[in-house]
Amino acid sequence: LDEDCPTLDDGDSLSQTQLLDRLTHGCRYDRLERPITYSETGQRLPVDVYMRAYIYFMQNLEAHDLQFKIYALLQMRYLDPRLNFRNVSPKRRQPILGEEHLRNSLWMPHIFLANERDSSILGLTEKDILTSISPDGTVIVSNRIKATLYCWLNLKKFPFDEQHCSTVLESWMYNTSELVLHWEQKRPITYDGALHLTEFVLQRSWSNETVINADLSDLRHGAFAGNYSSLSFTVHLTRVVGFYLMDYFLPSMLIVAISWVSFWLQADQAPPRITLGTSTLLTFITLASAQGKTLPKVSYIKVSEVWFLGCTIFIFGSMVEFAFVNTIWRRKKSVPVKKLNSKHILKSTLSPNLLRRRSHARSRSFSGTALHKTADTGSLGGAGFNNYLTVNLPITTIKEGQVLDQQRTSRVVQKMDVNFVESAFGSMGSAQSTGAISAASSSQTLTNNNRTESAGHQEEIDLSGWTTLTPQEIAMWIDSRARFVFPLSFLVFNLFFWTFVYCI
Amino acid sequence: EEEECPSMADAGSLQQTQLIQRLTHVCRYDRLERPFEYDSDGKRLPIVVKTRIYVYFLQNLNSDLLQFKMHALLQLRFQDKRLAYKAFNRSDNILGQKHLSERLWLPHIFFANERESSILGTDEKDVLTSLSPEGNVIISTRMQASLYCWMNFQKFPFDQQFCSTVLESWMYNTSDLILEWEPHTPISFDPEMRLTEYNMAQFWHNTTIVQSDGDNLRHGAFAGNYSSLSFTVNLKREIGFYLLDYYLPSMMIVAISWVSFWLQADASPPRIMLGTSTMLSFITLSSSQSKNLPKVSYIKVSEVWFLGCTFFIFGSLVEFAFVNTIWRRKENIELKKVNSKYIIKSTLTPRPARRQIGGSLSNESRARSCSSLDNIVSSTESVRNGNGTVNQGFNNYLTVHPNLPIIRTECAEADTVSICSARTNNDHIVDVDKDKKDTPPTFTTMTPQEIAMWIDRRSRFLFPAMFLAFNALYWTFVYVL
Repeated sequence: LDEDCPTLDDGDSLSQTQLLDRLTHGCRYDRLERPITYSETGQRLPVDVYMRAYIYFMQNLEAHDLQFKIYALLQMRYLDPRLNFRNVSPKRRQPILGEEHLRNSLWMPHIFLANERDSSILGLTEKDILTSISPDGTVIVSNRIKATLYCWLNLKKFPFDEQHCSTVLESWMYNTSELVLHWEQKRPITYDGALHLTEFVLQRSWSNETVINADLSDLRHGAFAGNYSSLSFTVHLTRVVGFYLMDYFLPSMLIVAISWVSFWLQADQAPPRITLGTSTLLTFITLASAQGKTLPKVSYIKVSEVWFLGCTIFIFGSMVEFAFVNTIWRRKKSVPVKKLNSKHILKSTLSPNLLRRRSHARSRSFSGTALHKTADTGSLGGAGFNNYLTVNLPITTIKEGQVLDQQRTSRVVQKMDVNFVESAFGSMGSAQSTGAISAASSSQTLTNNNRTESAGHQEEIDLSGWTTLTPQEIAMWIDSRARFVFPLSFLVFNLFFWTFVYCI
Repeated sequence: EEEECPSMADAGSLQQTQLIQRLTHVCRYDRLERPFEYDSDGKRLPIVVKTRIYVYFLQNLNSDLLQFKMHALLQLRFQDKRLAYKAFNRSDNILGQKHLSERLWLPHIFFANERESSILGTDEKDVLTSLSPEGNVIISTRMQASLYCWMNFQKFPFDQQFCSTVLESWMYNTSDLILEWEPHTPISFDPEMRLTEYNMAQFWHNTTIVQSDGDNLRHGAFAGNYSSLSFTVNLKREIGFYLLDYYLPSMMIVAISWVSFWLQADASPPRIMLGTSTMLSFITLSSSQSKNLPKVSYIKVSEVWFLGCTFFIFGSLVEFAFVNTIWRRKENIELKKVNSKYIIKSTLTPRPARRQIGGSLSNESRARSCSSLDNIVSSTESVRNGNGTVNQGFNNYLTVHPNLPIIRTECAEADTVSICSARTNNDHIVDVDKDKKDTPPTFTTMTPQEIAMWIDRRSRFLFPAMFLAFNALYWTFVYVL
């Protein structure tokens, strides 16, 4: 075998290819074995591989797939004493340059991307691989690569979030006793000046060197346990919020403000207020669902979801306020309040015990009033003016009775007498009322009963000293208060929201 | 080894393949080393590579991924004197494909802004190599490439983009290799090339030197100047699609929201339906437009339009709330003159109206009660008369007015019943005359309904006028800046 080994004596007269062929011949160079260096004590030293990366551009983080793409130039540098040609060819002072062909005849450290999903070397006709061998045996290999890397996104503060995405390089075959990875001393990571990101801003980046322990519990290197050298560089990306402010937050503020138009309408106008509530909610959900389409389904509450729930509650609240106000509007009893302020109005409106007692007392009176109205309509031909007066005030019954007495038969008068007697008995249980039953036919008796009832009513008003509000007035009062309470609450919610967003 | 080198003496009678094999034999041709030329001083000259590109078609710019795809033919031409065979009395060109190109030294050109590239071809790669007797080598490659193009969407959808194709030498710097464009028509496009979303306005080519040093490590540790070629296409976006699918429908939607001003102020259901439905339609239309764009943080021209139209639809709903609230008032407004200034001034001052009724809350409460009862009477009257002509409206007004003193008397019933009884017997005509005398003669009175209708009538012109002004500003900004 010794005579088959080509000589290196005439290295200067050889061409570059011939020199390389002889340097990497099997008799003196084993491309499947790493270069071996010994220390002074005869111990084997690991190979030191120095790395450098130049980022051409990065593609946007894809939140849905939790990955990003990187286009970079990756450079490795190490010393291989077997390739030293300073002695055999002293006149060659320039490095030997080559591409993939040269690299295929050399030993290469196998570096892989630990968080890789997909990677390949760029190139059109040939792979973009540049190999250089210096006279002292230093080998520099540069690859233009593209890689799809996994990046875990924490979207808790979306869309005000910041992400940290790493690129991890590891030795595949040799552990730290054979091969150690390092970053270059000066500027290991650099970026192209034309690097742009549309959705994020690159704040800063840093590089790190660690040792990864692979054992039986961590099988990232299979059955080959041991410590492996690992390099990583991390980019700190901040999401730009201008897009979300203009396309999500500002329109949703307008939509919530539209739902407050409801408070300027009257409480009994159900169709427009219901339409306003449901349409604004539908519009808001249409707007919000367009934003959440590109995000993965995470289980924690994002900041954008806090905003979504807040706005939904405000629109929902305006509809609940309408239901409350409309129910009050359709009541039949006026509510006495001690004073005209919020406390007493709400207290009187929301107390069911008092309402029940008054309702019990007034049920017969209400029945009487209804009968009054029906009789009047039938007998008098629907005189609006008189109808109005009859409904509200008992004093007008005097005139009513007189008119009836003059125009109708005794049968009708008899019917009216029975109604009046029942009404009087329901509100006052006096003996005089009981005595009136037997004297129903007398017109003068009717007048006396009405006078008594009127006096009792006057006494009640004088004794209470309270102000009476109709249900419609209470409903309008609540609406006018809601015009200020809802915008004010929304302002407070915004104050807390944006304080939380920018301070925490 | 000297005896192993094949002889070139009988090169004239060899087959083409045999000739190529002898020309590219390792004893006289090193395919891993570039051809060397020397000037008169014995100094090495760089090799000059002429480049030409013929573009078959450009695929549409992908706005979301910021890239475009190009299908082209890339031609490289250089001279390699080691391959000259003119001395052997052969005058025909040698043609070959991938097999021939694999035996030659070729310059390694890469796309600096490349995302992906490959050579086309079904069975064999579409590589054509030509070798002339003088040693001129021409390599043609049909290829496709996805190239990165940074787009500025500030003026979307009236934007124009500049997308470059950058070719660089991969291995040799300018002391060894220089890239140049061909002198005649270095860039040409297929006449059948069409773009669906853009219009190619112009293109130009450029030759530069890229510096690779400690700050710009695009070639790794190999510092130096590298030759670079680039050609740039100027693409303008076709706006017909956006005019027909976005701007025109949104103008119609905003105009639909103005139908509200032709309805009566108390017709709440249709006016609310108009406002909310147009807002929902507009937001649905807008969200379909911004689906294909990346999320950029600056304000685009289309977003200015979006916010403007949203404010107009929002404004019509706010105008309705204003008008409906005025309609449901109960006090007439006294005006010095019937013009905008006094109407708005009187309408928006609630304090004097409250003071007229009375200072205390109790009186205000009673006034409200009177108003409520008055409303019932008014409803009854309107039901009886029906929705009629102006005359009936006038009668309705007169009928309502005389009831006010009687109602006030009824409210005062708690104080003096006898006075109330006495007043019910008074003549209504006297009350009407008394009210007329009380009114100052120099003031005009308008009902809240009249003010509401007045505001609606003004909005019919004000909103379209403001929208026209907004459009004038918008389109001026779009086409001037």
